[in-house]
Amino acid sequence: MKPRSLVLVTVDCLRADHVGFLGYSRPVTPFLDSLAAESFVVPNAIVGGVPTYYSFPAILASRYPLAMGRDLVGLVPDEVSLPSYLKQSGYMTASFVAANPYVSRKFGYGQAFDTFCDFLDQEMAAEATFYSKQSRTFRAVLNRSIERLSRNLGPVGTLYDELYFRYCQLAGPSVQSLDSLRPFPSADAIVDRALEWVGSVCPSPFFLWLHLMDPHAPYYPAEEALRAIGATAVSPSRARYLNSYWNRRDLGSNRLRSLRDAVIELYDGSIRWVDMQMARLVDTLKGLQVWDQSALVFTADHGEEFLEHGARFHGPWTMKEELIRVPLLVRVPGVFGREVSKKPFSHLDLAPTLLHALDLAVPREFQGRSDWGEWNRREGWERPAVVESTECINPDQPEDRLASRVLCIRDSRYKLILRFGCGQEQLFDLHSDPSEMAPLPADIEKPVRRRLLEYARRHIEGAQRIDSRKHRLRARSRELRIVLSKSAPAD
Amino acid sequence: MTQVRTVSLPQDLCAEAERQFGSRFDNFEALLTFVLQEITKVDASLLDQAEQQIIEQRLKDLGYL
Repeated sequence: MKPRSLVLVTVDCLRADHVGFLGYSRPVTPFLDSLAAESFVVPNAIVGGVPTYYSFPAILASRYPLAMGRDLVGLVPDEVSLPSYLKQSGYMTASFVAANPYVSRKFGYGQAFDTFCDFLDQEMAAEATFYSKQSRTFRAVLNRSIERLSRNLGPVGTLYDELYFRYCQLAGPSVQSLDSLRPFPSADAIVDRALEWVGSVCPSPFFLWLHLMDPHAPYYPAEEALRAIGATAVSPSRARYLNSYWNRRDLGSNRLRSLRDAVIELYDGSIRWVDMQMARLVDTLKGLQVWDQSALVFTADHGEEFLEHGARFHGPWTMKEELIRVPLLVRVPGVFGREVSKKPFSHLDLAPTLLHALDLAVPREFQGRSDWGEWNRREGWERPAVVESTECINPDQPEDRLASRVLCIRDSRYKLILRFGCGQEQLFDLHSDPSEMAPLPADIEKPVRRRLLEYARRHIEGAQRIDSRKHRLRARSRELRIVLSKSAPAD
Repeated sequence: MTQVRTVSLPQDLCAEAERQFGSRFDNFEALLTFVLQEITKVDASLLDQAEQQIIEQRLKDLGYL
């Protein structure tokens, strides 16, 4: 029986090695682990780009993130995507995104959804007011002046950083709960809205996309979820301290490492909350009598770093496994799931594979291909996954997007990472060095290096062959419209 | 002074653009100039070409091209 509906759940910052069904020992995903028994589990799902703004074009439109030019971020107006194609095929479409501005209307993600709720109006307005008031106070101005001064006085600058951090911890407003510290709507709020919508449209076929932000820093999990994983009780002020400390830019990784385990416990608690809400989502779908006709996909836009290679969070330049490898679980009713090939499966191929599972054709605009047949026959495939980003960390302005490319070619065993900005080239053997601690010397495995470099060359060549001028003009017009309606141009 | 060029545009389109965005500009020509500057100022393809050349050079250095 082919499914009539599709539910896609993406989680921000969820790395593959922090879910039980891919081997994590802490009980963070008991519900998803049980679901995995009847699902396709992809052990090496690889994102199309890192972070969020470079990842979603692959997930939703089966397109490499820089394929239309790196100055273009998000989906372009009228781009053929999973939601647009399903809508055209008669599906009702809705998306509920937990206030991530990079998957908002501004970047084209609202198009093709009958209902699109990114929770940004109320969230961003409140945050903007808060920061703008804070940054104008006398104390804030004074602090910035002292900081600038201390930077010119050698060790005094370090001392100032330490004292100021401690002062902020003492002077910050008191907090009553972890919930009040969370800057994003939590998974329960997103699931509530989504279920309300499903109830209003079923029994029509639907496509529902949820994007959950709970594991995104700062890490403030629900207390119930922390208890569920057996974590040490943590007060709201302690959680705030941990997050503030973890966010310090003035500390080296040795000092940060002292609190790493405590921070990871908060991160894991957030994952457990997602798992609990997934259980609630599925229970309600069953109650609405749509579960047996719905496919469900659970994945992430990228992972998260916890100093494995010295970095935190999810910058676009390291391309290490903790960032590019994500969970991927696909449950299709009537199909007995199983673990699929260990070959790297690119997110680029996810939308085509899902359309195939829904018995729909794959649009010719998609760059990926379906592996639905291989999944069912338990066969592998012979193409590496490509991950690409630039070193841009704030894509709001087109000029800022013109940063150097970071390109990763990953096959079953080897992984080549190219950072064009600094001329760095690293080749790893993931069999002998799964933690990617020692890149192979330049004179080792030369045929492998050649093969992956040629793949990289063909990838960039292919991007240049795409005639994206019309799309680019539309996308720039969309951004220009925002600029024009906000402020006067410079003379 | 930069040389100028005369173009013909539909009257109603110009009127609508002026209605929506004209108040921020001294005149309609300034609005159009701003729009054209914005959509032409970025050429990302040059970066792609440069990066492709870097890979080709690397392949040459390794003796493969």
